[in-house]
Amino acid sequence: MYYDELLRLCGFEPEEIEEERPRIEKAFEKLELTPEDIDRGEERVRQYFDIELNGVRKMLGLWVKCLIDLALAREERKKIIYSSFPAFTPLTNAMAMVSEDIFVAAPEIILVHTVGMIFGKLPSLLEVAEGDLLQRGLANCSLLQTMLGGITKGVIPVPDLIVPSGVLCDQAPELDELIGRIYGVPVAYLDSVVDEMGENWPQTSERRVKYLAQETNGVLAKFEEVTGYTVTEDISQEANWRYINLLLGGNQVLELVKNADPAPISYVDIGTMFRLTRFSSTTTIFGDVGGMIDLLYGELKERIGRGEGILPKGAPGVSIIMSPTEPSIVKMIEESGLVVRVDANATTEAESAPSKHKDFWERAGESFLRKGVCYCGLGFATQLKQICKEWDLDGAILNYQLSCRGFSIAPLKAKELITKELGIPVLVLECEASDIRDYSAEAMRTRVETFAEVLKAAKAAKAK
Amino acid sequence: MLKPSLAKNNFREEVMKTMKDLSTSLEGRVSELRELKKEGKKIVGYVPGGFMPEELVWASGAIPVGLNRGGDPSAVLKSAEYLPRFIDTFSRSQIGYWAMGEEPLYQMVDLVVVPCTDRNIGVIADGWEMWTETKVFKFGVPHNNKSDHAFKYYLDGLHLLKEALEKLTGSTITDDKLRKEIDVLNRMRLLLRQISEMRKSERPPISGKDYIKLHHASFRTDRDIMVTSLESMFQELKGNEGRKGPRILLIGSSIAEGDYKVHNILEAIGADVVIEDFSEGMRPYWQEVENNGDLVEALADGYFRKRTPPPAFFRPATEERVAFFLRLAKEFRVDGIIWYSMMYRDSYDIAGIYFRRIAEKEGLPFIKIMSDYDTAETGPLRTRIEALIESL
Amino acid sequence: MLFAGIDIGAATAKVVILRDGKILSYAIIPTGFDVINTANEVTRLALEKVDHSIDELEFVISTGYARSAVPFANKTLTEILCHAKGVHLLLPRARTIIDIGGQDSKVIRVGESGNVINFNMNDKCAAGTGRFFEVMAVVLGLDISEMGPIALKSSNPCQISSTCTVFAETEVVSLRAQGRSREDLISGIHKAAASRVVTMGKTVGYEKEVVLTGGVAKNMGVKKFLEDEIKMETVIPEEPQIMGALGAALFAQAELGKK
Repeated sequence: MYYDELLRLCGFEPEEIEEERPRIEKAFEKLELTPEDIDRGEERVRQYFDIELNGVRKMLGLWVKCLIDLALAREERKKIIYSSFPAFTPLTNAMAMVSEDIFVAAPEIILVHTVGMIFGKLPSLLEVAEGDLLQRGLANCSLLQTMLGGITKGVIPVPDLIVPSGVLCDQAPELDELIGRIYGVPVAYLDSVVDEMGENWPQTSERRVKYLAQETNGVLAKFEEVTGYTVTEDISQEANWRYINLLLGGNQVLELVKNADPAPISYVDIGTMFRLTRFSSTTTIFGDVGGMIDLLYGELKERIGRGEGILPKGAPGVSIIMSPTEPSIVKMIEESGLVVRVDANATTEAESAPSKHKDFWERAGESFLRKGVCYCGLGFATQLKQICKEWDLDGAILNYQLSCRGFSIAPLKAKELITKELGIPVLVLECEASDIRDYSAEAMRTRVETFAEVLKAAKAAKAK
Repeated sequence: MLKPSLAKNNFREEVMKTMKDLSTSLEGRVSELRELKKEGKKIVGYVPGGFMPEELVWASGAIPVGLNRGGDPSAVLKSAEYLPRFIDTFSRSQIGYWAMGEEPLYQMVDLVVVPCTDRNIGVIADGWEMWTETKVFKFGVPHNNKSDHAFKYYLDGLHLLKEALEKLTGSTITDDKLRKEIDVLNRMRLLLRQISEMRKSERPPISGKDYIKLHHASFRTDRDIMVTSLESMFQELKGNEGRKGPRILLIGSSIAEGDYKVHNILEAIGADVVIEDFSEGMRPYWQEVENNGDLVEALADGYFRKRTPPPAFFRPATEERVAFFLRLAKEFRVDGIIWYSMMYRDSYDIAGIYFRRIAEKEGLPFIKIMSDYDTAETGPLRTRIEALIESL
Repeated sequence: MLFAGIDIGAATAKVVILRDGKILSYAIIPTGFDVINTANEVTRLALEKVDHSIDELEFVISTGYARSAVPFANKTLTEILCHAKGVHLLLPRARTIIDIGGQDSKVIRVGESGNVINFNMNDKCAAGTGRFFEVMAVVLGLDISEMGPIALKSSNPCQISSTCTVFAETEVVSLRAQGRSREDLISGIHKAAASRVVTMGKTVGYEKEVVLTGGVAKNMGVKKFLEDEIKMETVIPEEPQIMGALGAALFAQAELGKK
């Protein structure tokens, strides 16, 4: 069929395609994916991803599987739970582990990685949301717009329960309340308070951790009321254990490429892998992610052994704040001669101090709340500096997300901290991770290319 | 520097005098505060959103002043050196006023208390913390006042604030002092409410702008002087009759000191605000603080659990808010609603979407306006407001 | 040996021909719809003046927003690097460059060797660019060259706060309706644009000497208000528009040294 080649590029085995064909066709029809979209998808996968590596192909395939599961969840009689970004993953995983009847996902995350990243047609969803509720030009969150667009357009199902994460923003809970009202869906708020002092980062105040744990229990009670399933501590532990394993796997890959010179792989692939382990939040693919990571790890090790790389040896290394799901942006940074080594999702050593808490949800919540973006402006700025230090980078591109308060308050301060304390150059860029209508790679190219020249000169001067 | 003026010519003589006295007292306030500071008094700045009990500050011997300036494009422009452009305009302006160095209150505070209500107001705390040497106290406010653990979080925050204030001033906040302050501020809240409710009459004795200026004055004036002024004003307003005209309910996120453009446009065409609700820039007056039992708990109860109406960033708040505003609209015989929120205040932007649907269903004309404190807004704003009034 | 630097900006295309490290010739023409044509045309013009042709060029570097569209360029570089290089040749004591072009504005901090240390660039918004002045001139029915001198005549500039050219236009129209004088208005426009550019560059910082480049540098009103804002004197090179092209030509010459 017209889509077989794309699926093969995404690591599907031929027999798998045959077996899944009815589901695939039903999902693609529901998602309004036309043969032209499939062609564009093929082109984009070849252009932006390292498809020589089977691990990368499998990773793309897992995103596609998430998409199919999401599109068909209603027909397949699942109880559907949506959690918004950034999901408190131990919680969403625990809900998903309870039963095969439950489908839990942050739908916008799946959509931006498939409809956006692979098929390059995210505006089709964004425009629907803009036409209906979220006015353009008001810096509304493109992730929420994507979710709203998907529901309004009917390409993804209306859920049975929404769990908005109010941990770092107001827009998600506000919009979810609105969606809940319009579609008559119950909402279980996961609330938090952002009131830490930056000088304490990453120490998280006890009462803040306790508050999140109590909120988590509230969400689980609502979940039980809606689905009839109880999330026991055993299930939570099991889910969390699996999740931590994936994180460790992802970190191993990151460790492997951390100091490899020349850089063996584009950060487009690494960032996408990372986000799959952290944010996809659906257990339908849980088992396969581990295999994908192992495969990728092995392939990369071989490549490093052969001394192959995507850029010349000695190219300056930089951190970014977020790795956009639109792949052309990181590609543009790499084309200008910079190696992207890490983004702000990485866990710094400073954050990995052991927890003093005993309660399961308190322990899980603490590491979530330690993330700079959930902490405060100065805390996040300190974390961004810490990343540059621990990864021993030549510079930083602080590409903050348009419309995201949590991600955008810190960069100007971080620039000051990094240049003053570490003495490396910093470029601050207003960026959009998925909506490139105003933020294309081309619009940023002049600044990034100049910055790359500044970095190369600084690195050469240092070497002397 | 801000030149406060509360006097207005369609008032009767006595009201005018009280207004003038209050204005004079406000004008001298900055130099008065300078003197007090020299004597060793501490000045505590705060973002007036009704979540920071001033009772605690007064009882500690420090002086609370609300940092509530807004409306100037220059402060917004200045803030671009420190913050991204898509943060709520009021919040961005606050760091702008500090950076411009022209607004004395922003320079003389010894401690800034920011109730971190939503992420935009939280930016004010982040701004002070990241860019100034001033001490900051971040006072976290949960987004739901119904659960016990949220109440406990707020209450614990009050205890931490109490400690911080005691450390700042070196004096203990005793129950006696606190009780006295609660009494004074309850009186202030009651008077503000009584004066507000006088606007239910066909010819409101006080204009929307003057009424909001009373709130703004109360953030800076000594509480005793404020209460005395309100007492006499309440008496004097009793016989006063204002203009008759189209009656507006004004709802929004922040009403800053200096941002009176909506009022001005309405007044110019014979309409006026007869009742309003804002999350920042007003003193919530629909609830009082019980003055017995554990007093800190009583403050938490009055300021948090009983907060009326819940602000838009509470979740869920829509149902309660809608019911509250519809009741107000009826009681104050409102002809139309203006939703006035700051640009990029996302929680209010989205809340306004739903509110419009309800208002239209109820047959209440509704317009939603967003302001970036930009002088270019005035033209289109006037056109939209005039069109609303014409349609009534 | 001849080297060329070509700077294709949003409004104008500039070329500088270099021989033995000295400017042999240069040309400036408006950027047409067809960028390739414009590139050919401007280069031909500059070469014709000194009786040379494109085939004689040893190395060509293109810069500016349409840099990758120049068919005969051997290499492309960003205009930020090129401006720094060009200014350094003529004004070696320059440490800060404020470049206001047709479509964007930049503040560039340069080191002792003309290297870029830090920069900021605003390309999303036309307030504070040549385009902004063009739109305003049309609104006021003036020729763009008349704006600067008039701006200097007012002692009470209007406050214009709009962050957007379209809204600023509305603002100007309504101020005019309020009866503000033409001088105050034009002066206000210049003040607003200058203040926007200066704010954008605050994170980069201003250090002496400050040099103005780009087409808008020719406007004395902008110079005055920029100086007021940063509280420093500014210097304008003789032909501020060709600094990018000059820098590109210098880089082109240096390329040969590498070989």
